[in-house]
Amino acid sequence: MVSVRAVVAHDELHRGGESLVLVDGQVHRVSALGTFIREQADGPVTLEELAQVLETAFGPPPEGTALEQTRAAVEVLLAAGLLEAVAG
Amino acid sequence: MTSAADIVPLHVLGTDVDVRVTGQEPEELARVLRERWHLALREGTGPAAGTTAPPLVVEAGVVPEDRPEPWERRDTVVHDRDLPRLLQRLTQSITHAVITARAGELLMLHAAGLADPLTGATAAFVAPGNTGKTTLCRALGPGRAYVSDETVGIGRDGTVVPYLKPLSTRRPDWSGTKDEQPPGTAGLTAPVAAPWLAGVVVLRREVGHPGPPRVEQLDVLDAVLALTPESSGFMRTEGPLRWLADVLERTGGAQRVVYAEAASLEPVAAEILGRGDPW
Repeated sequence: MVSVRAVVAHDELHRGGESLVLVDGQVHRVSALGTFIREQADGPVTLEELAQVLETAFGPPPEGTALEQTRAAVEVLLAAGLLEAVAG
Repeated sequence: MTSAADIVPLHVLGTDVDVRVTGQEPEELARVLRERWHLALREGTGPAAGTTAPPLVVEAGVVPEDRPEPWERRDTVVHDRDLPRLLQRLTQSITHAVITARAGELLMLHAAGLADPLTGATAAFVAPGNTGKTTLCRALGPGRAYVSDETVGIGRDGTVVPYLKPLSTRRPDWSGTKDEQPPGTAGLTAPVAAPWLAGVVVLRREVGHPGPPRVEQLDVLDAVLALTPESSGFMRTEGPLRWLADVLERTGGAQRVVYAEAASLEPVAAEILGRGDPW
């Protein structure tokens, strides 16, 4: 099963739930959802586990399922190099 | 053997730099360098007060012709047959050397800096190259203290470390080379009161901008995001995002200012330089 975890940042700045993350010399502005996901992924976590945590924290999403919304957000974070896929 | 006469001793960005003058007519080049860098000269060739590190050494010389130097090419050796181009390249070399040396110790913003001559309150006007920093110093600097037209260095305690380089001024014919001019010829003087950071402005010059400057207060995340591309040594600095945020939050946050003419920024400069010390 594929899990994800947060890429270790050179520095992070958090304000109002959002964050800036400095990775590989580049600063990314991360939404509140993305920031929450990175916080939950300080160790390997599966999409299903993330979706459950998100639904518990924020309730069901207004559109689609929690798993669909979580997968979309995780793909964005993976593409930005803010999460990495890990085996196990 | 290098004699003291061949060395132009500078103190820039809190760092001693010895320019070792070589090539043709070294005495004349040394004279020109002392004239252009007059606000940054050290007294004698010894270390500046409070400096313990040995000086960085940068070599400069006018040579008969430009020759490729594949085995000798170093950032700290600048040879050129054209004096204005040599002076520009030397400024760039010194800037690179001192920024590299101070990475991790100073928060360094690509900015023009002006200070109140009595209180030391300093405004950092952050902008990319060729977008108005030197023009701002010329327009608003006389009567104030000049801090830099290139890089403002900020210590963890809010002190500002001047970089009193020559004014790098675009030539009327815009030949690709800037003139390195003595700041004194533009009425600029070195700080007497120790500078400390009072405020940060993110400048955006728009040639056709009508009327007075448009001032927008940035939230801290937007401000840090806007400033990081105009900073140096970020990845060699511990906690740079949080450091920059702390600086901004102590000094009232950053403003983004859209303007057309540097003189129109006078009220912005006056407001920041009139602030009290938050450090």
